[in-house]
Amino acid sequence: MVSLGKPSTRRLIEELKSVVGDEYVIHRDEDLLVFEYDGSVDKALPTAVVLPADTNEVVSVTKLAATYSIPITARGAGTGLSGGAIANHGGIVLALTRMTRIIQIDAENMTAIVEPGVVNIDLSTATAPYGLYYPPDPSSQKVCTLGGNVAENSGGPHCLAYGVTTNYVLGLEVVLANGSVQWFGETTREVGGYDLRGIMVGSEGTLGIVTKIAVRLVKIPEVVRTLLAVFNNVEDASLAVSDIIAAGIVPAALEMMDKLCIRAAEASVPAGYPQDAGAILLVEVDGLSEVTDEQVADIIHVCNKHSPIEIRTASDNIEREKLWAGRKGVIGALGRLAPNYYLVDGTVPRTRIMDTLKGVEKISKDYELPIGNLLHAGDGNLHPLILFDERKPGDTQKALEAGGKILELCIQAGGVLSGEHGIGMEKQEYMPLMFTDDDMTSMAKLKLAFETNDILNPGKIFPTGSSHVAIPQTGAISRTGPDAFI
Amino acid sequence: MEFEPPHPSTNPLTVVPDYMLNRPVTPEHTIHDLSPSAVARPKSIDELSDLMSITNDNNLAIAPRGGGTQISLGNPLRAYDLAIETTGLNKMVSHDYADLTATVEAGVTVSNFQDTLANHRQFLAIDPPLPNQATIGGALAVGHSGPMKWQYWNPRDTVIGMKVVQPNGTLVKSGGRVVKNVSGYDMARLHIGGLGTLGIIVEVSFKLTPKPPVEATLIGSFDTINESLEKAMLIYQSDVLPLAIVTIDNKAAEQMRSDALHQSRHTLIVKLAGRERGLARQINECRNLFQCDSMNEKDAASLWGSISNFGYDKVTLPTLGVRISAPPSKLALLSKVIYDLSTDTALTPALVAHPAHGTLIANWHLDGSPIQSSTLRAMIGQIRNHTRTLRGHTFVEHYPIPQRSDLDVWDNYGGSMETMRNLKAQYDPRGTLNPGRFIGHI
Ligand SMILES: Cc1cc2nc3c(=O)[nH]c(=O)nc-3n(C[C@H](O)[C@H](O)[C@H](O)COP(=O)(O)OP(=O)(O)OC[C@H]3O[C@@H](n4cnc5c(N)ncnc54)[C@H](O)[C@@H]3O)c2cc1C
Repeated sequence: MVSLGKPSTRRLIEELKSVVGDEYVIHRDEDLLVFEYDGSVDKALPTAVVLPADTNEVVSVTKLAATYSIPITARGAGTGLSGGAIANHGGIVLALTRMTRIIQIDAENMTAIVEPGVVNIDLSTATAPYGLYYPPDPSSQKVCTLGGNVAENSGGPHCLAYGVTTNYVLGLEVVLANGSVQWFGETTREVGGYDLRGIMVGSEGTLGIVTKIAVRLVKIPEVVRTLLAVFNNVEDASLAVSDIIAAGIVPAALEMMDKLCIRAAEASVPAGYPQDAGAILLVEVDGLSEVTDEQVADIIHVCNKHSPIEIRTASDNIEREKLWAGRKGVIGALGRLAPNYYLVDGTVPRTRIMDTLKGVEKISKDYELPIGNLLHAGDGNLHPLILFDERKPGDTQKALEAGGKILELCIQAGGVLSGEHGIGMEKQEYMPLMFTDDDMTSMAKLKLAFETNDILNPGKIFPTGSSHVAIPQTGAISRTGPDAFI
Repeated sequence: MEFEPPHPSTNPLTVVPDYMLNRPVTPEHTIHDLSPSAVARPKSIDELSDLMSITNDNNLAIAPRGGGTQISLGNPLRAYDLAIETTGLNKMVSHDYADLTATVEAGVTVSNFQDTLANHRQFLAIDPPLPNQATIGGALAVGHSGPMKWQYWNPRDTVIGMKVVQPNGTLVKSGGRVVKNVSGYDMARLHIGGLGTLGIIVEVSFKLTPKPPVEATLIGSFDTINESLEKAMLIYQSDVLPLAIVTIDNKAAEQMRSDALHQSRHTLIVKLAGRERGLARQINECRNLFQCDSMNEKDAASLWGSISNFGYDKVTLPTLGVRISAPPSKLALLSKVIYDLSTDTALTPALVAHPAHGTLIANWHLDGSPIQSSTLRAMIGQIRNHTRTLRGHTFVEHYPIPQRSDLDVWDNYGGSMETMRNLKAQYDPRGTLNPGRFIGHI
């Protein structure tokens, strides 16, 4: 935690104001609270929140941070689920939400250049008239920013066929810790030299501040077909998932939810799922109409081998929304089951989903905490939701430990610590589960190649050796609005 | 920070155990005009690790080598004591076909790897030149994509995990065997396209693609290259989703000596794939866009092979060659620039373009023509200026060896050279790996 003396703080605030204008520096404690979304840990209070208008202002603010030797943490919409945007060492929070220009849409070459504060969905909305869209669609896409997406290498329900953020970023304008502005890549498909744009994506704001983003766009598919299959249990559903992939079908989306989630969803957004439903698969295919018809038929054929209770298909948008309603309603509905939940994010090879879910069930029994499971199943990305009550003494700690056990399980199954939410300050202490000291030294060298003073988002990703810290994610989730889903 | 060559460079024979220097030095180990004093071909990752801790301790200048297909890429080496062949790392670690992933050692050839995957009707969506010879590690270290880009992706998009031996001999890994992962920095990116200057890639995990049930190749020819590029753009922007779109100008057609190509005309070739009905529809839509014939499978396979190998096989190996990356719509203009500049210098270029990817390859055979190195340099300079104005860049793939030190074969842009130097300084502080060969002569 860095703390400047009062006079220095006052001077810093004045200097920041002269860069961005008075109204764009937030420094009164009561105003800062909004930006300290880890409510439980007051050391996360930044000295000031600054909202720059453009790259030049970002440069000036970064140079001031260097002069005062205080940390600088970039922040988009604050929907991150691993504490990436929390200024846990204090200092300046650089909120990029004023930099929302879509600078260029080059429809002919299917690229766009945007500022980092552009909200994910706004880009696709702007390119829709050209028949183009930006595929990575985190569930938080109505609020999260493209800058945050780049920093977290975000995925979304449709990344199974389409890939994640890194597969779409062509170039980045970056302000480094020393205030220099560099372009990594451009709008071209190939780059020369080290792939710095690829290195920046997923670096969680620790290597530089992204001030412009060049992305590749894709043609809007001709048709989208959605199918919902209801199974007796997660075993059958998991087998269907592996069989779909093994049959050479890569759907656009392949989502799963288990009994607890189905029950929760059904209680708030009745989608008419059968009472005895043990697991649900939501499958989406897109492309040419001739192809999607056949794919839907094949998927039904595969599902039928695993004794489904019911299979429904949607052909228009209204029906499609209906099928998704239950899936999207889970998060909102969980509140009915427990006051708090802890959302875990691990990935396993798709063939290991079933074993892993069995392991999760055992952990749930061992810790006496109910756990629901939402999965981006096609990618092997699990989101176990551990239900607990923070008012019960020891419950929070138990939930965190159970989360840790689930991550261990994922690693043992040949998986990884995070599929899409990042390491941040939530999972940093688990890094040694996956990486050797040599691996982590190598990562540290990367950080050192970008900056040596540890000014940019310090205290993230790398283990500190302290015990695990709780990140109440409810704040981040409520930020995405009433229809938030994971 | 500039890198000093690792001097005084040491004779590997005096510091590396004999059993490691298990290969004779042959002319094929020469890079540009330099030959190494010894060659090692480690039989395991551990042996490579041991070897590299010795080379690092003794400041030996080393150049890793896979199949040697693109060994002449890059700037001149500053020193070259030891060649390290990776072809001894040739284990197919696992093909997890139900997961659509596979893990392989870096010395396996691309063809052998694809053959294994084909057993389960899967493939890796990369197609570098000379796949029978090219290794997985080499193809990634170069990092360029071939004509076939599944939905226009790059080789880097297929990698999900990687093991690398660092210059000091330590083995590090990143990523894993799952298709979605954001645990820590995406370290593999340092090495894909890094030309073996920060470490030697030893094992890679990939995400795979199911083989489409049917494929088709359509071919048509035009009087001018502009027409072929215009039609290519129409297809790129249509509903059709081709695996590859390539144009070949008349001179390149002549060099490729393929029966399928009209040697005096400009060709457009499109590869489509999918299910029967979807494919039929795509073929129809293409036919509406350009006049074309369907090729039979055998001829098509052989033509796609020649296209991948263009500039790298014996018949098409040029004296001078550039690879331009630019917005797809600018390729016609850039082709004209290249023709005009060549006319000024009385040279004839051969052009192959992958328009959907914005790639334009221009090769020249100088065949002993008395061309001044200053003329070549000026021409490259002008091509670079034109490309930069169009927001692209020009990589020099082939250049006469004696004049190599004249220029940086990479086009330096975006002001990121400082960061690249810092990376080299962090990972290879002694400058032992391919010294001088990469961008900015680092
Ligand atoms: C309801 C809900 C659903 C979600 N669903 C998904 C999902 O489906 N898939 C998924 O991947 N994630 C999901 N997330 C997580 C989150 O939305 C993503 O990580 C998102 O990309 C964060 O964007 P943000 O603008 O909110 O970034 P923030 O939370 O503000 O910041 C995240 C990180 O990015 C850094 N950062 C932000 N802007 C910049 C910049 N310009 N330059 C450098 N660093 C920067 C910050 O320092 C921080 O480390 C979900 C979150 C919620 C609450």
